[in-house]
Parts: sequence; C-alpha cells; structure tokens
Amino acid sequence: MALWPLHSVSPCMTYEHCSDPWPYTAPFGLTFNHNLCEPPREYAVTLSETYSGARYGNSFFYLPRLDRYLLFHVSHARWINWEMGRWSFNGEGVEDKTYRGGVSLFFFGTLKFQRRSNVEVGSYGKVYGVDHWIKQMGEVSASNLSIVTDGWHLDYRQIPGMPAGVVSGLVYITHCIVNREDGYLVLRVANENRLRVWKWTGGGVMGQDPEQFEYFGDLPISSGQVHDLAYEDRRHLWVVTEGGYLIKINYQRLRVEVFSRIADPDPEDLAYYLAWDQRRGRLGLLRHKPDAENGACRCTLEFYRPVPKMEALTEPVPIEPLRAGQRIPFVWQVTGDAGEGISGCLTKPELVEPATGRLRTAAVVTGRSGEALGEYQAATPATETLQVTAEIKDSG
Amino acid sequence: MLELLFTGTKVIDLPALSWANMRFYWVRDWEAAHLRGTAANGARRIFRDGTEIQYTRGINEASIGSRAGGSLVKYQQVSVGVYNLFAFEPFTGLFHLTPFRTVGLFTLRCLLDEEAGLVLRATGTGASSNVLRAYDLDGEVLWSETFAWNFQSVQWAAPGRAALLAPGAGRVVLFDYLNREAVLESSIVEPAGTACWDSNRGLVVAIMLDGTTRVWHPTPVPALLGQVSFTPDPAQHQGSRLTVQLTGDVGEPCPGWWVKWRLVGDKGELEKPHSRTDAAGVARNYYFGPELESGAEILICEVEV
Repeated sequence: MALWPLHSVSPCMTYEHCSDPWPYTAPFGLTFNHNLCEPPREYAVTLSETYSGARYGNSFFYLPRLDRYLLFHVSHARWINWEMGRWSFNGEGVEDKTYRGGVSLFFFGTLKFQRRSNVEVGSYGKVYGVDHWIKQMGEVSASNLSIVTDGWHLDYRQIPGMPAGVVSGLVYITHCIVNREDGYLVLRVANENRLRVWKWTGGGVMGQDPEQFEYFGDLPISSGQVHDLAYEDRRHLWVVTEGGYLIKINYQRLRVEVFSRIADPDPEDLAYYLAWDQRRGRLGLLRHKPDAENGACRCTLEFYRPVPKMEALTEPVPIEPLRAGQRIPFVWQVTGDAGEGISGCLTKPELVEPATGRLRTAAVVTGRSGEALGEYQAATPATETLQVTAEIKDSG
Repeated sequence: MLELLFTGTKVIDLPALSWANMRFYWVRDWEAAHLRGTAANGARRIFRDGTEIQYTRGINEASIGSRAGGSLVKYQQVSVGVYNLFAFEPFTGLFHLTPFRTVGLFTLRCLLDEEAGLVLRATGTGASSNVLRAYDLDGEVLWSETFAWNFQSVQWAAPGRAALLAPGAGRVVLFDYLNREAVLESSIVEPAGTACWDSNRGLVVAIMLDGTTRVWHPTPVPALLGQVSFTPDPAQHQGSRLTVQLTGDVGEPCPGWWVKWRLVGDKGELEKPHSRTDAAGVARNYYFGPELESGAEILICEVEV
C-alpha cells in the first residue's frame, strides 16, 4: 500500500435483483441473460469484464460540477444485446443514483457506448472521448456519453503523427486526455504501453483544426496492460496498470513524478478504474472484482491520498570498512511497495544493548531515493548490533 | 581480495534464468539494483541488504547495457552497424519506445558514455569476453585491453571509470577508460552468481549462488607485506629511507592501511612508529643509523588486519 489509503466502500454497488417470476421477460420480448438470473445467481446486472485495453470499456471519472464519481458500464443483462448503465457515487463513495440504460437506450445507447473509447474528464471539467464510428474525438455528454454537438471535436485521423493503424481504423484509441487550456492532447492506443502526447500549435485555446497539432513525444508507462487514466490538472494525469501500479505523469514535461501501487493488489482483481477528485485532491479507485457466487457485487471504491507510503525498511549496511576508532557510515532505505524511495521519512538508528561503541547520528530524514546515512564509531574491536526504526506519520 | 562489508540473510527469489542472463545493474536514481524479470516473476529492485521489491510485471528486457551516470540503456539492432538506443525511465523502470540515439555498435556487456564519445565492450574470441574494447559512437575500434578473466558485464562506476565484473571467477576490475589504466584489480571472497557496481557508494554488490547478497568495499584486504627496502643501505651516522609495499592476494596494492614499525636492538632510531600506505600500497619511514656503536639490530614491520 504505497499510496496512503484513506477509506474504502465495499461493495460499492448494489445490483438489481432478478424480477419474479423466473424466467422474466422484459418489454419487446427481451429476456434477461440466463447467466445472470439463473440460480444460484440472483442479480440482473454485472459489470462487463472489458477494461480500457479494449476498443470500448467501462468508464470511471470524477465530475467536479456534480461532485460525483460516475461509472459508465456495459451490462450483459438482457439478450440479445447489451445495455449501458450509469452509476453515481458521492464524494465519499456512497452510491446515490443508479441509472440503467433500459429499453429506451437499448439500441441507441448501446451502440453509442460501444463506439466510444474510455471517456475521461479533461480541462474545463468537461468529459472527452473518441467515437470510433465517425472518427471524431471530442466533448461528450456526462449523462449518456453522446457527442455534444456544439462542443469541441475534431477528426483525429488528420492529426499529424497519428499511428497508421489508428488512421486506417485497425487500431483504436482507448483513452484520450484533453487539456484545451494549455493545448495538450494525450492518447493511449490499444495494446500500446505508452502515452502519446500532441501539442496544439495554433495559439490560444485548443481549436478544432487537427492539422495544427504537433507530435510532442511519448512516455512508457507499463510493461503490462494499462487499465485506466485519470486527468488531475493542467499538468498531471494518473495511470493505473495491471498489478495495481499507479503512475503520476507530468504530460507537459513527459516525465513520471510518482510511481506507487494500490493497497493489496489481488491477482483475482479484474480491472482498476481511476478518477481524480479535484475538490478533495485525492484518487478514487474502483476495483473490479469478480461477482460473488450468487452474483452479488464485490467491487470496492477506494480512496487514496496521493502521497507514497512507507512499506519497507532495509537493513543498515556499512559503506566503509569497519575499523575501531573510525566513524563508519551506514546506509538504510525506506521504500514503498513498488520499490520507490520514500523521501522525508524520519528514521532513527540505535545500538542494541550492551554496546561499547556509540552512534554519531541521532535521527535522519530520508533523501530522494529513500536513503538515510548514519555514523557509528567503535572505540575498540567489538561485535555490535545496529538497528533502525522509521516513524510513520499520519497522512494528515 | 576486497573487503567484505556486509553479508545478507534475505534470500532473493531468483528468476528462472541462467546467471549469465540475469542482467543485474545498479540504478543510481534508485540507489538499488535492477534485476531482470520473467513472465512468471516481474523485474525487481534489489537493495544492498537483499530486500527485493517487484516494480513491474514481466519485464523481460535482455538487451540492456550500462550508461554513464548510473543508468541503463536498451539496444536494438536495426541493420549492420546501426543500433538504436532507448533511454531508461527511472521511476517506472521501463525503457522509452523512441530511441534517443543511434550508435555503430552496442551489444551485450557494453557501456555507453556519450560525453566521452565511447562505447566500451567486453568481448573476445568466440565465447570469451576478456578483452575490453573501446569504440567511438560510429562503431570504430579505438583501443583494446586484454585481461585474464571473462567479464559478465561492464558497468559505469564513476566519471571516466568502468567496473568490469567477472563474478563467476570472483574478479573485479575498476578501469579508468579515459587514461586506459586499471585502477583496481582485485578479487571477491568467493565466486558469486551475478554482481553490479554500486555507483552511489562505490561498492560491489553481488548475489551469491544461494540467493543472498554481499557487499564489498573496493579496498583490497592485505595478504602480503613485502620486503623492506633501505635507500641507501643502513650505516652508522646515516639516514636511510624505508619503503615497504602492502599487497592483496592477487598482487593489488592496499592503500590506507597502517604499518607499524619497531626496532629490536636499541641502536638506531625510526622517524615514526607507524605510517600509512599510499595509493600504491607503499608505506614510508626513515631509519637513522646508530651514533655510538654499530652492530646488528632487527626491524619489525607489521600490519594489523
């Protein structure tokens, strides 16, 4: 748990029960998915197992103007097609409003959704996504993911430097982060483990002429699957990958600023979805876990303060030859559970009694790589034990 | 023999790779080493005490080398005499996907120093790798030095210096590649599985065959105190300069050790009772011949290890 976990809600969603009597037939002759409602499963909803590595996927983001976390998902509830659902959670992760696409959105909503990349909040608190059908990238509605007709949009195929596979339609853009204020466009393409960044060169706020973009560069982000991205602000975004690794990226400088991990990643976790709460300055993480045996939801919504947390303390290792009378420097390190150095952590070396030598260092604060250096001095040849403790402060 | 500083007790869960394919390199930004991962066992950071933390899943980069400054570089051959080099991203431990430069040669056991305009490579005839060869960035050979051991890796140690590591033979060479001279040629206590040069603190960190770590300081442990030399020969009413060289088990000089001098015979005098060995492992003193009577006396010279 290398980031500070604040609290979690588990399960964070309550699925709708199957209606009686079984088999239930919905309007227009549609039936519930037998795989859902057939005993012992008793729920009519489940999250699809499509994370954002696919052409389309579940979308999770925080919408500042509503102060809500929103989850859009594909449900396999009804034969013969899928439907879209929207879940809403308040700032503390409590589910407060659920909307199922239902019959009225059966075809239209489903199709719209399947055309969409994973949508994300971007600049001006608006939601942006990619429509693979009409080859447009632009602002989408936070209520049903439809393209906002008078909103910002462009034909992404005409952006210079766009991978050939995307232009030809063989490869999909799975995520887009749009910062119109500073003119940065960050894309992640299916099956790529990098982020690609373009810069708007037309001056002012990002416009709609795709030819005015210039390829800015790329950044490797994972050796495994990328599960989700989250826009933080005009400089930063977060990435969560397979294995629960969290990466904070400054996309204006193409550099990683935080590398960490979620609490207790579990091999059975199906996917992770990430959202940045712009009001509270914290990360919301939706952990998609397999349903329970009776089909009940086991997903959790977890909140993290974006500060790495200490997880391991290495043993003190001398870095100079041990000589009686000499001051011997020892080094130890404080790390998170992704191996990242934890700086600013107070550590205290102490000699285990009985001891004849003396410590020349009372307490040390760890440096950039989580390293701390203390000194020990022995008056005479001796065998002694040096141990180190680290103080973990509350995340505040 | 280098001086052993630390013997770890933690046992590293080694990937299912041969030692030669392990890829154990120090990363200065981490103050820890990178150990190559496999699909079953992701890449890890290895700390000096043997603490291991997986930092990514299944990274399986075999084509990597060392880069001046204490970083790594990934290489990929594009065509004959054209190699793309990819920079290392220290936070995530991944390699950039766009090459940062092209060089004429970069293979296994190479070190890139762009500032010096060099690629150093441990190579040799057939499967051997006992020749350190320097190339310019276009791949032209500049010079070669031959050693007695096959090196497993060439790693950046400090500005202008490369560590040549042959952990299987238990040998370490610190080589000044700007002046083309070995600064240190020594051994570690016993053969290790793989080793790297800790460029933060100037140490050798090795993973032993049993999976534990050991850390050595590049100070050779004395094995032999040579013959004391008098210049000129000792005589009554005359001063003589004394020198003695302290060396390790493979003949390497041992600097920084205190040599104790004493006379048995009570005739002449010594300038000082102890002196410290210099960079060549030589300790110096002065002997003043007797004023009153001549005769034999014994000079005893000792080092406390």
